[in-house]
Amino acid sequence: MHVFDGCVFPYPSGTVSIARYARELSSLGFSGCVAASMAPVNRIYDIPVWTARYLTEVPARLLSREAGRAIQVNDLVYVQAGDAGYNRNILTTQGVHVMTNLHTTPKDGFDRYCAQLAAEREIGVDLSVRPLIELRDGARQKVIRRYEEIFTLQNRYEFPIVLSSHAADITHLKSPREMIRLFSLVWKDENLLWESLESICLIKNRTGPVVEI
Amino acid sequence: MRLRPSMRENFRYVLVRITSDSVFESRDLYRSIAESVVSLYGDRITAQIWPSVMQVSGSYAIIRCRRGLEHDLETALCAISQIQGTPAAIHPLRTSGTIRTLKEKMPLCTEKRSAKAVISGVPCDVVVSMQGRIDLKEKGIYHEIPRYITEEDTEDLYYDE
Repeated sequence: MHVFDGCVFPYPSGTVSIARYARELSSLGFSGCVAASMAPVNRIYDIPVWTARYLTEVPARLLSREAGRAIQVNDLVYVQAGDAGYNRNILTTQGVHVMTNLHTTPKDGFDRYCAQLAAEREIGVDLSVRPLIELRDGARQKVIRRYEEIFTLQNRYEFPIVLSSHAADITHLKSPREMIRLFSLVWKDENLLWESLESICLIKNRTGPVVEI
Repeated sequence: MRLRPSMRENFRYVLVRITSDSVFESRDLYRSIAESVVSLYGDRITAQIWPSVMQVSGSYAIIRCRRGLEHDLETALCAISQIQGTPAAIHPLRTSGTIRTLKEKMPLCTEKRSAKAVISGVPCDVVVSMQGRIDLKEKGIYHEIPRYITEEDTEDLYYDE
C-alpha cells in the first residue's frame, strides 16, 4: 500500500527542508510525498519524494506551454483551479496531473462536465485538509459543503481524488489516520478515503486518456 | 453525588503528541481542545464527549473522553492549529481504557540537546532531537535557510557542553 501525502511545500515556499519533511512523514506513516514548487534533486530521502510544478494563475492560452515545459523537468504538474471555463481548459490540457484549490473556486466552478473530463483523462482533484483545520465557522462550513459536492460527483463519475496536507510548516503535517478522520467529517466512506491517499501513484503511472469505443 | 461502581461512566483515554516550539500547561491544552470540539460539533455533542486533560508530560498528553465518542474527539484534536496563539498540532497516537496502559506506551526518551550547526555557510544555534531532527532556535532571522532540517542538511554540527 502506497500512502502518499498529495502536496507539501518545502523551503523556500515553507519553513521545512525536504529531508525533514521526508523524515516526519515517514514517522507519521506515509510511504511517499509530493513536494510542490521545488526543483528535482538527486538525493535519497527516508521516503520517495516526487516533485511537482505548482502552476498558479497561469493564463489559459499559456497553460499548455507551461504544463509541457514542467513535465520535462518535474514528475507531476499541479494546476490551481479557477472558474468553470478555466477548469475545463485545465482538464483538456495535455500533461496536467492534478487540479488543486477547488474550495476557492466560484460556485459551480467544478460541474458534472468537469467531473466527466477528470474521470476520462485520469486527472486528480486535490483536496487539502488545511482549510478544514485553519478555517472556522461559516468559512469552514462552506469548504465542507464544497468538498461534499466534489465527493458526490466522484461517487457518480469516479475521477481520482488526491488528499493532501498542503503543509508549509511542521505543525501542518497530518498522519494518514488524521486525514481520514478529518475527511470523514465530509464523506463517511473510509475505503474511498484510503484509496484517495494512494491515488497519486495511479495518476503518475497513467498511460493516457481513455478512448471511447 | 456518589454513584455505585457499576453506574459510573466508562471513559476512553487518548495518548497524544503535541508538535510545537513551546511547552503548554494542561489548562492551555484544555482550552484549545474545548474550542475545537465546540467549533466542530456544538455544545450538545461536546457535553456528551466530555473532554478532559488528565496529564501533560513534555510533548505528550493523555486526554479523556466518554466511551464510544473517541473518534469524534480524535477528529477535533486533529483540527487544532494553535494553542494559546502559538502554532501547534496535536497528533492522536493511541486509545485505551486505562491511563496505565498509555503511560507504558509513552516514549521515555524525548531528550533534546542544544548544539551549533553550520547550514549554507551560516553558523546557527539549534536544538537536536530524536533521529537527527534539527530545529533552529532563533526564528525569522535566517531568511536563507529553513527552520526545520535534519542532520543531512547541515555542513557541520557540534554539541554544546
